[in-house]
Amino acid sequence: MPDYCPESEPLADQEKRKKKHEVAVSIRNVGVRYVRRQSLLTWKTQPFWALKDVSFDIRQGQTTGIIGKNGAGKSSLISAIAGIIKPDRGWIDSHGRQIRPLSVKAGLARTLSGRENAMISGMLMGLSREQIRQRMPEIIKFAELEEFIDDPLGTYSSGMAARLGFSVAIHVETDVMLIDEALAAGDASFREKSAEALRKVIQSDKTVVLVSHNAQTIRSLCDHAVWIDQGTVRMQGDPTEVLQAYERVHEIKKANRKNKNRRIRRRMRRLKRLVTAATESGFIPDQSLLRPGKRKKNSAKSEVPPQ
Amino acid sequence: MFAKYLPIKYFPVVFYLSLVDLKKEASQKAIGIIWWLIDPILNTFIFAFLLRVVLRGKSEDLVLFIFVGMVIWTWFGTAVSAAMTSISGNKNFITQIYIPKVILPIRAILTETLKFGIALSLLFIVVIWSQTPFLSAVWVLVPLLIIQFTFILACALATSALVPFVPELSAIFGFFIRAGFFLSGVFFDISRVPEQYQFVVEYNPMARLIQDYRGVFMDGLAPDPFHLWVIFACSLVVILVALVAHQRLDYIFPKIVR
Repeated sequence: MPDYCPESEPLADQEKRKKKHEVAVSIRNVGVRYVRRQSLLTWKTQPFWALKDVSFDIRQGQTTGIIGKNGAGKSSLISAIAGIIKPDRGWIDSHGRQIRPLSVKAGLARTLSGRENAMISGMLMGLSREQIRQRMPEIIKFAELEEFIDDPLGTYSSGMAARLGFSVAIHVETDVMLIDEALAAGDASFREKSAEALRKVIQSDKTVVLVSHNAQTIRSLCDHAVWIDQGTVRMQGDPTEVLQAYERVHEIKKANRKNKNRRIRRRMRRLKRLVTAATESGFIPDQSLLRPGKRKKNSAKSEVPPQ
Repeated sequence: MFAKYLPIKYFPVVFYLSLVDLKKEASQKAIGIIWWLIDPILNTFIFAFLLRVVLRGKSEDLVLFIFVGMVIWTWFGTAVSAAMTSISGNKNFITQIYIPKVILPIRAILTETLKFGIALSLLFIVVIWSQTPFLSAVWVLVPLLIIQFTFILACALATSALVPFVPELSAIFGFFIRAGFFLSGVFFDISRVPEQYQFVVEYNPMARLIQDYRGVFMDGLAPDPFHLWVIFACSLVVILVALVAHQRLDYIFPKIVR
């Protein structure tokens, strides 16, 4: 039995498990607006809708993957689901379930030690001090931070801080787990380990929301995928289909970039050929004049008076 | 209903945070906790030197006089300056997890209050040692401390809600705190301020409080309760308004703190 699974499941949890696939969290027409005031003197405001209109359901016992590019509105969506910010339009109903963002990636207080940070985030996630103290050895062991746990968090690398965050996350049980790019934390071996831990959590019929811009992670772990693009749901449904579409769009973009490069290279070759022809025919006296790098070398050489 | 505005559920976290803050601060300094005792003493000696030697003031208990003012003012000054940037300066707390933002200034105040407790115990030792008749009015300290705490809470909650929206305000409030140090009679007797400038200390709650503390510690006199009631009532009103404001802004802060 893995050590991060709670030994005894609360009765309420067991009942919830029976109602698998019922809607755990409904998200309807959610929009999040950021207002940037340019200056205090002018009251001009510039609203920016990071999230325009997002609707989908998170189902009990399923793993929902949210995928999208940087700036598509994923983090705003996660903040809204986690209750850190309130949507400016639409609504999110968790039907009384606890939702917590389970990735305190950067840590909370940089001057405090890793242990204290783990304690604080555990307490903010609803555990008592005693409960966290009991779990602390497991948390530290999983995060592989035995040597550094009493050092200030400011001295940690971002990977170490993220490992600690993820480790606290999987040792705190909540109704809906919200994991933001946690698998990208740490080195390859830790990534593998956390993916393994996550897989176990997912198999234990927990409700998980996984946010990533890595298609592979979503494909291998999720039952349902939601593709967020420019603040709206571009597509949702079966992960394979959604990711196929997602990758197709991104591949086209990549291919476009590749084609562009190829075009440039072709033009360069043509230019070079022209130059060679011109030099050979005596139209341009010295080819090296056209190559700034070589010319410098030559001129440097010529400056040295031959002895 | 009240829990909506003042999240009592989170108070264990607040206490833990304050304790950890103190522990961290003590461990960062080589002499640890003693620094909080030395700091007001050193400041006191600077001003005592300035007044007695440079300005040739003549006063019997100049050192005790300044020390009372220094300890009382330090509590207010440090608590309010720490609290006002507590929301704008704790981006990680605000953007990564839900936390009622109002607990951040409260944590800052609590940390400074615990430090003040240490300085206050030193003040008691000094007062007992100088054998002032303070025992005759020592009970007045309880309402005085409560009223000062309420006043600090009012200033802290109000400023901490405003500073995230206009970051420049922290510099402006910082100026007021610095000006307050010089205008609240920390190192002079406010009754000696000339008549035409009396309004500066008349409407300055900290000046009145420091004067009252001095009355208790040095002469064993109970203060006139009227202005204390005014300060208390005004502070309570500001606290209530600020708590409502914090509750309304709770979900706005994560968006504007970047």
